[in-house]
Amino acid sequence: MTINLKRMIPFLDKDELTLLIEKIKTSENQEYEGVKLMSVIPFLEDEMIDKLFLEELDKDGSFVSIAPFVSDNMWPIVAEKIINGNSTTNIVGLFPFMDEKTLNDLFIKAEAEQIAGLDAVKFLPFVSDEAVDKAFLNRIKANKDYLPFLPFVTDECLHQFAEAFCQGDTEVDIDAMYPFMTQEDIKMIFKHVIEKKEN
Amino acid sequence: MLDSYAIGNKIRDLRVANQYNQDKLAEILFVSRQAVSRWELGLTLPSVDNLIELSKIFKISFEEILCMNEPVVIDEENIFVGHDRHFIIKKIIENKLEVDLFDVFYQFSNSERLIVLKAIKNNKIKASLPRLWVKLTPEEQKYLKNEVTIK
Repeated sequence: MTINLKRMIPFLDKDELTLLIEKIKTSENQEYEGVKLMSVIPFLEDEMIDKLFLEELDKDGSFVSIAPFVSDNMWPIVAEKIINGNSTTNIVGLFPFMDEKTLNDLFIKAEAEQIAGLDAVKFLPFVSDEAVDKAFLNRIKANKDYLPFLPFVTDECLHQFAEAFCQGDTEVDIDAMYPFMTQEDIKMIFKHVIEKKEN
Repeated sequence: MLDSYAIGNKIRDLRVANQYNQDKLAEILFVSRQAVSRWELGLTLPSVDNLIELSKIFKISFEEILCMNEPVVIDEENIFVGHDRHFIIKKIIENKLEVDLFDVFYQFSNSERLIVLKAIKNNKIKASLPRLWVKLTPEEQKYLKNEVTIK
């Protein structure tokens, strides 16, 4: 009679689980008797999961699949590693798990080009509206490409450009912005241009 | 936000109805034929000046060309057919388009799913999360974990 190790996992104690993980990690194909690391993760204590996550992150392994089980106090540590350049892995897959503060901090650093190889645009669906608007306005001031930000910028933020345009600010690239504005702002802009052409 | 795809179809229909080919329309507006083609495909929108010129040529209001007063009609089988994806997502997260998220969630791309979930998380839209929960990946469930208590 053969024992199915996979079915035994919920009944293993802490030491046995630790031993099983060691066997999986040291095996050539990252599998021990049909058991992969991901099958064991839900049965581990938080501390152990966090440790495994950091190990996988450092070696650019399967850290994203462990991420849903990682405790929240890990994210500032991960963020620090990324900011300090100690982690070169593609961390975009971790964004949905990170808390808003960590994410906003990373976004600000990425926007300031302080994180090599991390495009701030990748953060846009995840960061707060305030952070997106602020970065968008900074990009306009700095004459940097703001077009990828437009679908994520709030209506209120774009409204100020509609008003500025109608008050004669010709610096505003209204042709790029109007498709993303509210119908009221679009009508205001078109009526303004039509009136100007008629006079 | 405007529905560039619907506007493209409208420009094409108006051009054909007024018996212009793309070259002729491009010539009148001093733009390239490719520019007209890109408008009609919904890839870009005409500039404000060109749109006003189009409204003069076709003798209709800019609101009509921009499909502003038209109801958004969607096919539940594919909610994006005939529309710009950004436009549909924005309508959903602004609560201006009624869809059953449970039925259409599979039609969203990964980033669109997260944009919709962010709107749910920020209470911009209401959704039956316990019902939707089974359709979410572990990552998405974690993203919403503080917003829902699964009974």
